[in-house]
Amino acid sequence: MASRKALLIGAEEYGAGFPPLPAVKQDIKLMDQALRLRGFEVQPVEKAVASNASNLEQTIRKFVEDAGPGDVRIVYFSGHGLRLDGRDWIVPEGVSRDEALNADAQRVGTDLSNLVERSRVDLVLFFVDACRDERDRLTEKSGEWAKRALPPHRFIRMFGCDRDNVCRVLKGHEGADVSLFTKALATELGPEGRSETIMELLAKIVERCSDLAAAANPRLPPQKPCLDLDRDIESETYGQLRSMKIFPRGPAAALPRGARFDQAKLHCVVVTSERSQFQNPGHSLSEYVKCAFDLHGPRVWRAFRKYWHGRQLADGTERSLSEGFAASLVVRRDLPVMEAFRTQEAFDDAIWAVAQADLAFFDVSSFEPGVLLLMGVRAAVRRGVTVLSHGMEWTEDKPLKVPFNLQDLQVASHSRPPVHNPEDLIAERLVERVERGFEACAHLLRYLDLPAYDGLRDLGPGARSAETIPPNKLVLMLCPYQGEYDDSRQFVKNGIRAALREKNVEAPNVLRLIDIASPQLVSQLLYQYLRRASACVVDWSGLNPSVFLELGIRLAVSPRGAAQIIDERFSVGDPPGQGLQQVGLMRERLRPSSYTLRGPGQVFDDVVASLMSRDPYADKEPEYGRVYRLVSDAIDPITPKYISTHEELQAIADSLHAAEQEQLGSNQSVHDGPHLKRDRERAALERRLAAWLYLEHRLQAGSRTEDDPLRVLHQKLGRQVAGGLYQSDAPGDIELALKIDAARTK
Amino acid sequence: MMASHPLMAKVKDLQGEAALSRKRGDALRKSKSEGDALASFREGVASLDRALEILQSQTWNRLDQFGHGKPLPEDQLAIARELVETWGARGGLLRRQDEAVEALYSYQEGSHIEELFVPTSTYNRTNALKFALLSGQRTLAELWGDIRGLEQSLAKQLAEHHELGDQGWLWADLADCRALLGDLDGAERAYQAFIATAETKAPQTTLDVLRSVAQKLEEQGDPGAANVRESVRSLERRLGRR
Repeated sequence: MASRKALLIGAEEYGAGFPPLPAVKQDIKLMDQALRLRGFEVQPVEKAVASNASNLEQTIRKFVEDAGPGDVRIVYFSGHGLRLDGRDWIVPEGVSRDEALNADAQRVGTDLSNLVERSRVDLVLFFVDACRDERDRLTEKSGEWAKRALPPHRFIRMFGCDRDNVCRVLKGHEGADVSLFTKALATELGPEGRSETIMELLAKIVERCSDLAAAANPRLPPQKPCLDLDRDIESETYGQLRSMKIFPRGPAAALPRGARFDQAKLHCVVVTSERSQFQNPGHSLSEYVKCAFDLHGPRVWRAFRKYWHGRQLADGTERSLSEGFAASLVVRRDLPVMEAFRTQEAFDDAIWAVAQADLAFFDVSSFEPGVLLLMGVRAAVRRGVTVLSHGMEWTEDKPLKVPFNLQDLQVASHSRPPVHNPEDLIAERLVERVERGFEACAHLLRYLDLPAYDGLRDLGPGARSAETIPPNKLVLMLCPYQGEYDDSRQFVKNGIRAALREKNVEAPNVLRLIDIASPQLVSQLLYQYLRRASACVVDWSGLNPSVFLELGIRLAVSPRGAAQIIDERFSVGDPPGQGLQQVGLMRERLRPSSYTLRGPGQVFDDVVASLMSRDPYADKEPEYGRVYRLVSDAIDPITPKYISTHEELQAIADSLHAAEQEQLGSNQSVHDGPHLKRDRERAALERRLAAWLYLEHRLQAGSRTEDDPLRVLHQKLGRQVAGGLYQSDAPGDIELALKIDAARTK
Repeated sequence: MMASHPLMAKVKDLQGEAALSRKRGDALRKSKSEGDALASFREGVASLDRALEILQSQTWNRLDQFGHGKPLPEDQLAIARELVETWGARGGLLRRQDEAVEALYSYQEGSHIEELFVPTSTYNRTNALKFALLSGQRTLAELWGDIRGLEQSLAKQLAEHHELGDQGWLWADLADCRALLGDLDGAERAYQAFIATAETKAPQTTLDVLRSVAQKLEEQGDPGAANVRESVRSLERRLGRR
């Protein structure tokens, strides 16, 4: 299989005559993230190698020579460079200027054309973020490229500046020094970038360099990145460079792990299904979402901003969003489901992206397992806005067979209606949903558009409510309920029971949810057990959508993960395998153990042994807890701060009986019994009183300046509370009202 | 001047202060501190007068240029709504000070704006009618046509705009109109809706005013007094039963 690899070389410290380059650290970090995003396997070069010319040359040679047909290799260098005798060199770490100028052995050539010619590699790209000044030795020789024998598109160099120029550093840019060219390159290769060919990439980088430089210091002369192809290149070659997609967007067009979440932007992810990608090319959900932003970007931004602007995050920072809309304020990522599972990095990035996105779209066409798994992760960790959409001829006026756990979801349609400008219509409908979603988010304390979030958290008071249920008490089994699976289920259950007995569990309890004797709603009970059960076995057999949603949820909320198994009868062929490529990729990533009906029970012994030995707090970064750790890291910097005490009390009071009800002369109770109404009115008053006391005593709001919002609220709430108490017949209420009245006006 | 405008916020603030003065005054009156109660009501009126000053200085002249049925620009409509609210609240505070004539003046001012610009509000118009009776300035017979017109307008609005059905005061106004017109069954149904919809403490205020109206009509020997008295009893029964 063709591979895409990148070698990252950074040289930060130098000998006499070369200033140190602190920006290199950030350069390497940015390139690492950007290249992973484009599906490259990244290989950083160690300091010991980067500081020895011979070692560095050998490493680069081996990196290219090891590549085979179809492979793409990128070599990236950030450090000092020289142009001597018409050739471009990079200087290894630790070398002085004199050494670099005077000894061939103290510098490394950037022309790999001969090496590439001898190798089988398809393409080698060399990005050089280093100076090319020739002031030290002006003995230019020409013709080096003219002698080149191989077609130029197999080896391409891109320099951060043109000949005789220097590459510059942006000091303290977004908190760290970074090289101008690398910043532009990494940004264009990142989620915001759209370039796929080398010529598109170059054009964009030139533009970005110019913008960045102008913003940093308008007086500086321009720095113009270039390809070293400006001579002797036939028009045919330019044509190839224009059409060859070296950086196809896709593999993990998601935010890389650890990347900074830009709080000033709207982060959107679109997860597309495999079938609709192939059956409706050009009409995928991502196209419609793009269309929605193109046509109605300002509307989406307004709705998003209304909810998020000024909202504090858990770390105490506040999200500040510009009032006006610009396309650059949206970080939109397309995530075809197959690509999400293509490599481990891509899977990690996909998990990261669905957890962090402010706005997520899922193409639920035919409820594919990979889509459902990612949706489960999102459902478990975010109360953000999520829009589900179904294509493939289904329209909203037709019945839709929805998996059990998704029964009460609102599903949109992105099937093309037979009308003029169907794209506009679909985009409009998507935007309406987004607007309503953010509106409801702002209005409701517990807004939900996916199941599970509250079910996983509202477990009741007390430490024991969330206590882990050990494997000797329960092994939770997530599996399909269909009749054709009955044999497998019984076989698995018996196998796990037997294995548990082997482990001295006297009364093994292997239960599906419906086996648990409780009148509680299945959904409520399910999420509670998904979180609390220490041991969970997930059977992929039949690729049941509900099971994959549950699997996503489980992996996201339990550090102990899940033991995954699959009956081989259900893993291949049609309909079980359903010809979905994603299933094979998912198996590579998640590695379910396979079993055969009435086959050896060893697999269950292994499953039980694994489940019973899992100790996520003692094991070092165990694979079973990978998704849990990822989402924990992903949501930590972006989760909204828990609502403040007085605001929560006030919101509850207003939901029971809003203050303006007096003006309307009405009550908010569903039913009009006088006891019930009186009780709710009183409950609202007591909560407002508690909120006011919190403002008065905890936040000292009464002592703040008159225009302080808390002081204003203190006044307003004090009036409402005192007024309510004055109208009460309960003993002591009027005295309390008089006290509040006095404190309010002191 | 929209709701977020600082002056509008000041108006809201003054209205809030006046409402608190009213409630404080009611509580003090209940605890037999009549002097303090009256002082509190006066304080409330003063707050509302300041609110009126702000509202009128801003746009009243312009507001007056608009004729009946012409839609107001949103900023003007917001002011009209606040004027209606302020005049109505002022009338209520004056009533508590037994200043029926001044209260009537307040309600009439509010009625004028209601009719022209805020037809979904009827609080001032209903009270203007009741206080015209209470102050002895008009008889039931003289007001019959106006009451009938208001009753029909209210019934139509409530039937056509279901969202208005949530507002208890509209049902109370409809019931009062029907009681004054002698439609006891209709009044009974409207009071029932009022009690079901309203805050638990709301009906008591209506009952107090209705009792005063019945008493005044009886004093004047008005033949409609019996109907109003019967409506008072009906409302009392209903509240007592619940």
